[in-house]
Amino acid sequence: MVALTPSTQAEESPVDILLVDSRQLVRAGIERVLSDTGHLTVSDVAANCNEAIRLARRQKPQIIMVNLPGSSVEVLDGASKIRRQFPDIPILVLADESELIIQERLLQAGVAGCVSSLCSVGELFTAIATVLKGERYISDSLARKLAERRLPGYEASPFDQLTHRELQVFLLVAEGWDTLAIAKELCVTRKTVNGYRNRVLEKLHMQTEVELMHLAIRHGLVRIPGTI
Amino acid sequence: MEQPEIRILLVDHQEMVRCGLQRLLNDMPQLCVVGEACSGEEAVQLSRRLKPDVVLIDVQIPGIGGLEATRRISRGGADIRIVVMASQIDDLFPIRLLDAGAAGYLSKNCGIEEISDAICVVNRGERYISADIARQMALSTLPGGEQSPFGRLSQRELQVMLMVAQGQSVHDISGHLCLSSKTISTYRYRLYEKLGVGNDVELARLAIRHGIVSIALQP
Repeated sequence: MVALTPSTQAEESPVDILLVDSRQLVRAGIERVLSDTGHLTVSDVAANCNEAIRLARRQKPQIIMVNLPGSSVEVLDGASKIRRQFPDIPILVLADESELIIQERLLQAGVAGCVSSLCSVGELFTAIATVLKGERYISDSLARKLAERRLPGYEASPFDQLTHRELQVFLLVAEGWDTLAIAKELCVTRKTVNGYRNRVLEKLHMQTEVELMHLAIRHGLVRIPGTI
Repeated sequence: MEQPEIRILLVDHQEMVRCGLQRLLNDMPQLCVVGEACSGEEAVQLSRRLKPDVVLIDVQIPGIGGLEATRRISRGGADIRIVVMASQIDDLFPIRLLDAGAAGYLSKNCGIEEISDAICVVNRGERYISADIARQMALSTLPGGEQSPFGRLSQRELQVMLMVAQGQSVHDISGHLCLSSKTISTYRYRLYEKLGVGNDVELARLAIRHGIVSIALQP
């Protein structure tokens, strides 16, 4: 286990962490591990990012930790939204390792730290201590993958060329949202959504929305409940 | 007379969750976590070696996954009860897991007390299904909620459904089946109605969940 430096922590009240996770049991488990350190505490829990924003307005946490399984678009949009509302609170996201593009976009959106959801307890503590100091933390494996992508000859991810909006529309389409629902979610017209969707199809060289869904599943960006 | 402790093997892929749950369970009288695993394979191996009373396993674990691990542990011959935890509730999966030999099934959205109850119940040889999952299972067995909605499709509808779910365009499908695009679209809307979905992607996702279509490996 990595402990915070004693000089900064001794005699001080524990660090308040707002934990975002939709599952009560998972929250209970993480809460226990953090509180057992004696210097970390889960001051509040939220089931989603909107709830986290409401709670953080009432009582400002020192760190917001996001652990949401399943929907990449929810994590990406949610964490970006929190960041815009609270630019001075470090956000630590636990993301699926396969979702490189999501982790990269999270960091671009200003998230302080990104670790694998499968990281060790020790690494989690290191990440918390690092972002608490105002520094950024990315896991070794993510750092390596991001570095590799800068090397010449590295095959670019097909998703690199998508803008933020296009990526959002792509993920929502792959999750089965229809045009009207996407338009409402993004506060744009249906025509605009269709425009984005057609550009995504063109950029990814796909013919149909179902093909987009297959592509998203293959890249671990979208999961279907009940399948592994 | 004091009852013996229930020996538990805890299987979850997130170390921080596993570590916290282990401590929470060990705080409960009567419960004792004797081992931890992070993948399906490891769960099977440790079940053989440790012979726990109960395996508490997350369904979404790497490797062979929770379903296959459940099947192998329950076929292993030892008297081990399995309680499955799921992050996302799906109406099809509980039945498959119970068929595979799970004695309990609960949502990860339950409290630690419910987990503890479930462990005690299955340890007595009974089954435990959390209320939210039981409700879904009950609804899906009512008339109109048959196991596979695909059973109600005609041969032609099935054919169109498969092509749509594999990502073919209306134009391609009409070419393959020698039918007009308009006819294909009529089939699609009939499929939406029969399967209770709103668009092609939802239709494809339903087909994948039912194992009728697999994920295309190549675009």
